[in-house]
Amino acid sequence: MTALRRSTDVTDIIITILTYVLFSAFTFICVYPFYYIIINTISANDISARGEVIFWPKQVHFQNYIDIFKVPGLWNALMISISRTVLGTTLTVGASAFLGYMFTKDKIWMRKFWYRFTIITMFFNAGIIPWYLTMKTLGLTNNFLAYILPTIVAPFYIILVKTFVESTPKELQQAATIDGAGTLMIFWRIMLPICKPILATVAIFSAVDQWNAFQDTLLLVTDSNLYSLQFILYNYIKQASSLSTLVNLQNAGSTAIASLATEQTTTSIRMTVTIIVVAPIMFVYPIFQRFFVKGIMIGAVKG
Amino acid sequence: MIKDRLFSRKAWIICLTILMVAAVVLAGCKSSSGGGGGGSGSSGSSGSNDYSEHLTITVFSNAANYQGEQTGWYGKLLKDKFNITLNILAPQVAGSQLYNTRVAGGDLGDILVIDNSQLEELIPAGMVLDLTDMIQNTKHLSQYVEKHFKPFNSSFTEVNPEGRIYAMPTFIAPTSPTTFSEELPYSSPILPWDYYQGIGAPKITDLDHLLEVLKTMRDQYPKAPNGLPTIPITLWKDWDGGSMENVRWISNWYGYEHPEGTTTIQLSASGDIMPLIDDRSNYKKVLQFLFKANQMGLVDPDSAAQDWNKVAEKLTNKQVLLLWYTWQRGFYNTIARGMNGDGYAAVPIADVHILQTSDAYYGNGRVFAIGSKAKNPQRIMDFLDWYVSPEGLRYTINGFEGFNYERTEDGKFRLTEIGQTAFQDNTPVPDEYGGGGYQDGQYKINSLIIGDFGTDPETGEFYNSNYWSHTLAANDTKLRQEWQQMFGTTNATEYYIKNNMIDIVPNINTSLGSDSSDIKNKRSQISDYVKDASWKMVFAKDQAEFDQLWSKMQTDVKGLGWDDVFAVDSERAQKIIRLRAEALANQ
Amino acid sequence: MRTKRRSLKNESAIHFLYILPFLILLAIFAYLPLYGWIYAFFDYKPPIPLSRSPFVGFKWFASLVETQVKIDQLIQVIKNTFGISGLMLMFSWLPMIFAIFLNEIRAVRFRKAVQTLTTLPNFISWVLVYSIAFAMFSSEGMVNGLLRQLGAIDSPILFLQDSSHVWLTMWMWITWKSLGWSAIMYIAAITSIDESLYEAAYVDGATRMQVIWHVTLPSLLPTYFVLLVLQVANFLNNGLEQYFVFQNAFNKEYIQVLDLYVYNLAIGGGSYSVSVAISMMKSLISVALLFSVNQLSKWLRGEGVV
Repeated sequence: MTALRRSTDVTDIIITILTYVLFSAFTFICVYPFYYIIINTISANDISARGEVIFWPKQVHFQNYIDIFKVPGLWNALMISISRTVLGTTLTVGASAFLGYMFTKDKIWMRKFWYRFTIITMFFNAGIIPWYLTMKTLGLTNNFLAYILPTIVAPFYIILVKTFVESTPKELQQAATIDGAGTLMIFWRIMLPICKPILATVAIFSAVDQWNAFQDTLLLVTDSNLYSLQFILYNYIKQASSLSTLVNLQNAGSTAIASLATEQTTTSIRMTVTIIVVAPIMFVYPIFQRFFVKGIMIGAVKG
Repeated sequence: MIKDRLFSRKAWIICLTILMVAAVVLAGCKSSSGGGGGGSGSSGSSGSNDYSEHLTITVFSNAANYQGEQTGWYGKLLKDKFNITLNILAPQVAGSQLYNTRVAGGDLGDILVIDNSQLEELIPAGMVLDLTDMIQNTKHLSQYVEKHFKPFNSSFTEVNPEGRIYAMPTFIAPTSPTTFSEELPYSSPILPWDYYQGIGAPKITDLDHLLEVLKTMRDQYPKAPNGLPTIPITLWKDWDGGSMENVRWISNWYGYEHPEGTTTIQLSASGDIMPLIDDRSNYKKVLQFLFKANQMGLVDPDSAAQDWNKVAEKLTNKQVLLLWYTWQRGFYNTIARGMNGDGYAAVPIADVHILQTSDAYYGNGRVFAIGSKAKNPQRIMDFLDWYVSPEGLRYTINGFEGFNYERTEDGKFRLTEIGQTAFQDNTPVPDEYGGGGYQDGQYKINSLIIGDFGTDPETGEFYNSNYWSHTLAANDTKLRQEWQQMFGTTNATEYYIKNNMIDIVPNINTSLGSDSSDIKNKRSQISDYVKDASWKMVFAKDQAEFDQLWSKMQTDVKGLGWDDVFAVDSERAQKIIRLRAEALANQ
Repeated sequence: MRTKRRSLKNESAIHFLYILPFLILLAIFAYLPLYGWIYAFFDYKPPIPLSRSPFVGFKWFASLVETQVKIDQLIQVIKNTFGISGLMLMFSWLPMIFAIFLNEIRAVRFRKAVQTLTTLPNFISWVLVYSIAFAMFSSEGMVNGLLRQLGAIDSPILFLQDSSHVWLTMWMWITWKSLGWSAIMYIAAITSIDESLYEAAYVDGATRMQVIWHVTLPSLLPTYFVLLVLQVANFLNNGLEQYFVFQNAFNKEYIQVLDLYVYNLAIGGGSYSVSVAISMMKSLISVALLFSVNQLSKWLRGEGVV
């Protein structure tokens, strides 16, 4: 695809060099903190706490990771997280694609109204109590569907898809309509393939949202079989940071406080949790990147 | 608004099908979630211990810092004994909204470990069970009704005029309302003992002198053992509540406390109510002390930016010179170091007059209650009765005989070698007890009805293993001996009492009432302002700026509604004063 | 479909039925809970049910501007919100430029590496970001250590307690965290550009900058404008966590954005009704902003976004 780029001049070269330098620099400041986190999770915790691990790990050990993998319920939680991510993402992507496409059509009863009806929900905040009561009335407490159903219609992704569809040439759809294809057929046969890049984007965004979500678990789920990985890890971090509340109950007995005080979550555990959570994302993201390839030769269709 | 003819039949069918599927899915889930615990069939008449059906008890515990099922050795113990599993809900994990939402939904949980003020809200809402009759039939709980539960429940005069028993306070120490059993006041000056010896162990006269001592110490020991710089005083911001928390607890050294549930006053043992922003208040005195310390370069420059975790690391490294909470010693002190005279110890300042509350005779601010929707209250009661029995307390606090502790010939208990470190090391527990790490398997409710200062009838000693005679003998380190030699008493509490440097005020336990929404909003705005101003004062450039910030705060908080909040707090203080007088009179 | 010719009305009704199930989901999960806004007009304290709570009208709204001190505070908070949101708006084109120039890189491996690695900060929680910031910028931190070794300073610079340039620093942190992540949307949009447009441009002898200017940029603008409109509507919602972890007594005056202000108010167990009042106001303002900007966009560009 770059075969045709023949005109090179001096500014072009300067720009090229500048792009490489700037991107390298920015990538470095993005990567280094992450590298810093990694080397601190595998260095001896006391050295790490002293802030001496800066360039390379010291006294390498993997105890932090081993400890986390011993957290009870971890594997079940992992399954829950994977299920909600896969199922939730699939449904969200499907719904966003369909609605994004449908909202580009003129022939919908009160289209403009319904589009606005959808979009403005992005800015709604009803408050936590009515939300909880609604979910409870719907039977969505201690229910796996609580992770999925509310996220299916996601206005932001719908907008993204709609904008994308609008930027593709109208001729494609027209041609198909003339051929006698119905709305659903066009969606399935033509729009889905064309929208691959934006759907990949939506998929990444919504998968990460699902994977990282734990606020819903906090309030809606008390059945430990439905706890997600993020929740379990959050629980693990929180366990030790509750000292302050105890301290104010002066008579809690200094023994209780002392024992709690010494089991403080060190930053290194927080860091380890981050790595464990991010690693799968970093593993999956490049797979999605494959959909970001230029490929549509509209010219071919037009001809 | 939609006309029928707009729709083709096919479209109708599609639409209805989708709706029906959605309805079925929703309904199906509802029914499956409803049948969680089971066991509602067996009504469990009192005393009949029909444990054949497994019961899951939902425990809503403000004290817990773990959410999920109780597993490990304690989980197995309860399963074997009562055929129950505790499913713990922890607002400390899930956030304070957990309380609001569940309460709004009408069911908080089966066992509730909640704050006094929450109990006060839940009684009139009919969300806690009246335990008066059930508790009469218990073996162990009933022993505590007259002396502990009744006075506590009756103090909720407004919502409980008949003096029914709705709840049992936590961490009761059945010693006496005026005894203080710990070896060190909760907040008092603490220094590294070896450094203190190293600079000649001067007798510290007052706060100004303390600053000089700290300066000398820092100059003589500029580096901690690991090479990092010594920091005489370090502060942290993330525990700040109504005011600057660090200032609050140092204020205790000079006879004024900051009662929990109030934010605008300080209260003395004699019942003097001092507004926080009064020019004569201890709060200002301590701010001035910290300001001066900062002027002398003794305060950690990172104080305002760091959180407690960072401080904990510095304590572990012995970087900090001045501590005040008793438990802060535990980060560095060990027996092995104590043998070499190394470690933190109390160093009294001659002019202090510490205010200390006595043992929690009436409990300490939280309660155990049973939710009104609990499925099987009798079985819960059976469990709670065991929870306060000697057997239950020994298990809950000290683990297994033979594993964590052993009986000696004199009939007392002694920690085994494993027991001494089982908690810190999270030692694996034998499979017969349930396996897993010892710490992981500990009771996660994280709160007791009878606390570790209860006395084991068999040994006559506290349940708290730190105070067993065998433990004390093992802890007789060089540090301790040197200390005792210099101050002539066995421990710091004794020294303060002997020299009349401490006021022990009776423990009281009640609800001071919850704020109206109006006061709540004013209070949080004022607190916010006071905290910011306090921090700025400690790090002020000079005395002039310090004074200017102080007087600006005095005027500004008035604009935020200071007088209203102060009136509420004064009233609360009056209640405290009254109850303390009653506790003394009852003795 | 018994007849081959469908009436226009019928088709539009069928299309409506296609999206109806989704609208119902939305009605249940987004609109139904909105009944909760009514709490803003009561003095509601769980567990006392709403039916037994006193009606207070607009008291909570009024209470925000009761006294001069509160008005001053609120004005400062609004200033901060405008400052930080304003900076974000001003540089809202950064992710687009990022994507455009990334797309120009011909070394595929390098491009993919940059694309992946720059998303990393997005996954580090703010709490952890702060502990890294602390490791770098505290008095004993890396940066001060370096400066001291170079002999540039005697006493440490307290970056984290600095009260100047707070808005800029906050903007820098958030840009660092989200730039690579937000660029994904534009990277996807670039792929929808008709390849033949490029061919035509190169045949015409356009330089690279010219191609970017005349082909890539115009194709991305629709996406950019949509996101811009949404961002404007989100003006008051800065989020909480970032400002919460970075706040201290010294930078608070400039760091306290609306969300943080509301949170700090609620820390002392602030009343539930007040927080509902504020979030209701924010929701309404956001929607109002959305439609105003949309109108503006219609005048300027001839087309709206929603």
